[in-house]
Amino acid sequence: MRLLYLSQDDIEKLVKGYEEEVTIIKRNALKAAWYMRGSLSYVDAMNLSPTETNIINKLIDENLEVTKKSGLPFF
Amino acid sequence: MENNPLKQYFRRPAIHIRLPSNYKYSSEIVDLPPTGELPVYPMTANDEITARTPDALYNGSAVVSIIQSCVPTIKNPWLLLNADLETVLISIRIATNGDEMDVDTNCPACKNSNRYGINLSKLISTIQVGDYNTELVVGDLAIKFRSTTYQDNNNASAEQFEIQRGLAQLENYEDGEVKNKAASELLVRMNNLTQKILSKNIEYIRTPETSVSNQPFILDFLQNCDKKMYDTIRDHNIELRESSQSKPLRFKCVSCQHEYNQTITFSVTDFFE
Repeated sequence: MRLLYLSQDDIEKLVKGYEEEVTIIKRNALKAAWYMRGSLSYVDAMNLSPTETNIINKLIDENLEVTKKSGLPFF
Repeated sequence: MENNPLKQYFRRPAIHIRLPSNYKYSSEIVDLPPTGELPVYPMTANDEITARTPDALYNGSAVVSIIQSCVPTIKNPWLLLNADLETVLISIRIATNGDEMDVDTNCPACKNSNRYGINLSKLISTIQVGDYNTELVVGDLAIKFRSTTYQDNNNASAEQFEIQRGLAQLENYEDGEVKNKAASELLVRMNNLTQKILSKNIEYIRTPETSVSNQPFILDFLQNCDKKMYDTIRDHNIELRESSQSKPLRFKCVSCQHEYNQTITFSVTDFFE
């Protein structure tokens, strides 16, 4: 148990760090859901593994690229 | 969502593992497939959040929840033997992030800090469970040991944490007498905890007349037996526990070329970061 070796200040820092990381994870999931235009819900995004998240992110990049090349409006 | 076209991308088992203890768990604890191997899924974003929830990490429910999500055939991870826990946690890490894991070590010779990549699949293959079937014979007594469960381990860690915090607060006492009293109470608590953990590692003690598996009786015996007997039991238990953990790895310092062994401890709380 890492807590055994940490001071009060370090524990507070650790908890703060966790909170920031959780916000990033949620933000990335919401971002993926938004870019997938409804084909991936937030719940689905939260149930993806890192590998699958990478695949989805690549898909998003490809879609953005195709949209850019075709000149069609993305939004 | 059943009709989601992305369902084909949803997670699947990345690896299959065998539990090293070969213990015959009831199906309420581990629902073993006919292959004898448990499928291990990668962690999801939800699991990543669970691994960063301080209260859940402290009370052990984070690990239980992650195991239930990633190794769903383990129905009740609280009752998983510690001898199997390390294998399960490493396999979840492999399923999620692949075989390689970076570890930081300090060279004992030149104190230089080095970062090495270790192969977790290789490491997992070195895990063997100690011989819990053979009884330790001490005089008239035959003692059968067992691996404790994750629940036992977690309860002990929480109590150890409370004692440790108590020890850290000792310096705040101004009155020397009160401080000494508090210190000795904490030491008694620590001693009782050590004996309690040891008693949980004993399945039964067989005498020429009877076999005792009642935990309070075993604890009472450990508190009242002679030191030599206690040390023999304690040392045997340590030996069994160590033989059930992953073996130390050999490193070579990049700056002074010194070769040294280092045990990699898979702390549950920082393992998934």
